[in-house]
Amino acid sequence: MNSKELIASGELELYIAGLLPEERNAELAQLISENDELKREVKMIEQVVMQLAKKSTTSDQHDFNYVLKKIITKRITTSTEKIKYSKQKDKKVRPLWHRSFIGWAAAAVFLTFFLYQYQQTTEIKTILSSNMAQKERLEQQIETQIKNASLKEDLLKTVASINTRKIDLAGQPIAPQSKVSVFWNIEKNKIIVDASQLPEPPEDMVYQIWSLKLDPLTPTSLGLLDNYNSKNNLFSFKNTNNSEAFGITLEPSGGSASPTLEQLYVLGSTTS
Amino acid sequence: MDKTDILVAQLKDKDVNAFEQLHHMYAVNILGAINIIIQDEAIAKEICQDVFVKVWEKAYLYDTKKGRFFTWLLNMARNAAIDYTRSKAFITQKKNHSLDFFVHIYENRNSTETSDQDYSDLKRMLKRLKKKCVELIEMIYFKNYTQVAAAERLSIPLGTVKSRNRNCLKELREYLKDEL
Repeated sequence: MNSKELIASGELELYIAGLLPEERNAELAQLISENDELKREVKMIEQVVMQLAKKSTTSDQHDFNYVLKKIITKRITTSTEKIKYSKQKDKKVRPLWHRSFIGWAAAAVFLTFFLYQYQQTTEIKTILSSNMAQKERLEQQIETQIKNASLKEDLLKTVASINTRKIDLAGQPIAPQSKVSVFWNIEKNKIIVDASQLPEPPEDMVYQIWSLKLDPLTPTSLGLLDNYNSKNNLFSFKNTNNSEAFGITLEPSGGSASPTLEQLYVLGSTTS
Repeated sequence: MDKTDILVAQLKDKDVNAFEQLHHMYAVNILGAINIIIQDEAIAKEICQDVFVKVWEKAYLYDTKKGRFFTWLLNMARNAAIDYTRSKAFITQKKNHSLDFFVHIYENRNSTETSDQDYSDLKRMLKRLKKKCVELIEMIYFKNYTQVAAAERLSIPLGTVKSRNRNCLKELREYLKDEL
């Protein structure tokens, strides 16, 4: 079929409507891109349809700022959920054999997540730089989001490092549903604790994380999961110990000198 | 590569200025396309904004090799509008909703009824056509009908859809020659 025949066939009109089968659509897209006559024809058809559509509204559409506002509002309200979701997804399937492999996979997931977060931040910044009436009010909201993001960025950089091991802490009888992941960067003596799957602690109580030597059992406090809540559940600690296990207990506000073992929420060995 | 292709490529890179230009180029058409289905300017505006939010978020899914950017937008707009027509809110308040916007306008083409005054341009445009053209164009471009479904509804052979549609659009092209 030459281009004249193709034009006369009425197929280009259906192409603009998006009604052709995928394969034919791709063929035509290719043909059109290579042929100026077809390109002109397609544009003309498109113009007619666009004119029909345009005349089917009485309003002028000058509400680009509303679109931006919606994009930003949506970002702010959904990003926390997305963060939680991506973490949960990472945790769902975790067979105990292949721990180290899964650990690396998780690190990769976190890296992706970090890139996503970073891109999101950049995106919001870009949007902000355009001239918007709502700029100031939104800026405040976004400030918090960006702060959050850069904190996580730092944490996740560590997570992604090749010297980082992932240790899963499993829920103990007091809270069998709980799960915590500890990312231990052996080179930098730093651990990052993803504690998103712990229950909210009661008032006046705080989670405390311990490095454990097993024989004999010697706990060393690494610190408190201060201000733990559903949005604040990533923590970073220094760990210079030669830890054999990590555990998290619930302690009275301010923490304890030694762990209250009846309140042991999660525990995981580093040697599996 | 024409201007639109460049803007779309920039949009994929999350360039807000390109996005704004594309919005400027297409928003009013997309709004109109939505209004054809919704027949309520205020709701159509909301949906149109939501469509462009989606455009920003899903731009990476658009592939030049699969069709025109406008076709992609139009498809998204139709789906969003049709989704809305299935919502409770819409079903409860659609009393004044005539099934086919174009056909309704067309049938009142000679009246000076105030409610249709606003679409006088459209009226003038559709007036040029036969009713069977008006029906077909509305189905094909603005109502998500497949060729088969359109042929069935109009009780015409499948092959006729393509040729009739072309002839109908041709008449509009003639009419719009000065405007385009």
